[in-house]
Amino acid sequence: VASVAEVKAAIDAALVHVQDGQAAVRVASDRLANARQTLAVAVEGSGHDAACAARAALTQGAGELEDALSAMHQAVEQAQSYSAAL
Amino acid sequence: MSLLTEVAVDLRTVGAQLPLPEVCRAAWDVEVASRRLAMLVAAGQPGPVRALGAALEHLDTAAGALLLSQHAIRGYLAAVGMSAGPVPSTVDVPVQHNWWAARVFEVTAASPAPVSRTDLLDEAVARAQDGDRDGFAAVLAGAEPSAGLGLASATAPLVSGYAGLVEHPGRAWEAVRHLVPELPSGVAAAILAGTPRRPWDEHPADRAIAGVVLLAGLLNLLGRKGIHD
Repeated sequence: VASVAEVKAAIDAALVHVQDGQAAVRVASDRLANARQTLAVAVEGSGHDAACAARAALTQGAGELEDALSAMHQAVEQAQSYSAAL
Repeated sequence: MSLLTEVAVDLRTVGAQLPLPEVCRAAWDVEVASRRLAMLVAAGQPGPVRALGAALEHLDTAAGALLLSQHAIRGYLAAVGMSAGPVPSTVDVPVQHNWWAARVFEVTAASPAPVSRTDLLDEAVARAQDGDRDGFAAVLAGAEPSAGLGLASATAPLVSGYAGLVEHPGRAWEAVRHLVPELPSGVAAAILAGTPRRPWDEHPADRAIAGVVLLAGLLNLLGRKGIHD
């Protein structure tokens, strides 16, 4: 049977990974923003399907990263709240 | 360096900037954290694990989108004769993803079976004037992406012309915005204001979709049925 201290330690260890993941997503978002700007400037004026598809995919990617960050934030809050209540 | 060569260099730079390693790293961290928090599920606290599961799904989708964009960029370079890259593997053919239809379904929050029409603008405007969200989404989603994107330039002068005939053009939008509940705010206002397009600020399909809806709203406000009335 795990003690409260062990459960809290396990939660803390898990949250370190979540925080590392959040940092990686933030870096990814910054890099993706640069990529989107570069792409937008390069294909500005192009109506080619592939150019539009590339832009749309990057837009979707940026949105997914935001949603991932939001979900990770929610997980951290819930886990911290549970840990504090133990 | 020629202009075309510069474009090719820029596009290859985009490929190099794509943060796939960071997204994969984040997914790994989330997976490890999720395993470590599995005990909370047994304790009746599934919230954190569920949230991490959702995060993982978003990261997976993000990685897929980045890979799709890589393929699209390679395809574009090849199509315009700027690629010296290897021939794509036959076991690595990108799945054809109809991003245009996907965006239509997303902003309309409807997902009917697409209907292909040759008179795309007329039919889409008619469905929008009738307030038929499913029909509007079906007609738009049935269009080829290039034809769909063309609606932005096709509707812009009409919107501008009709907006000049009404006292409060914004009211036209208020009456029809229910057709596109998930459209980001500001798109219609930017069209009405004639704000220059900033490509990285919006989905490329949004102005095309909003242009049709706005046009329908203006026609309704003016008591006209269709753009030929």
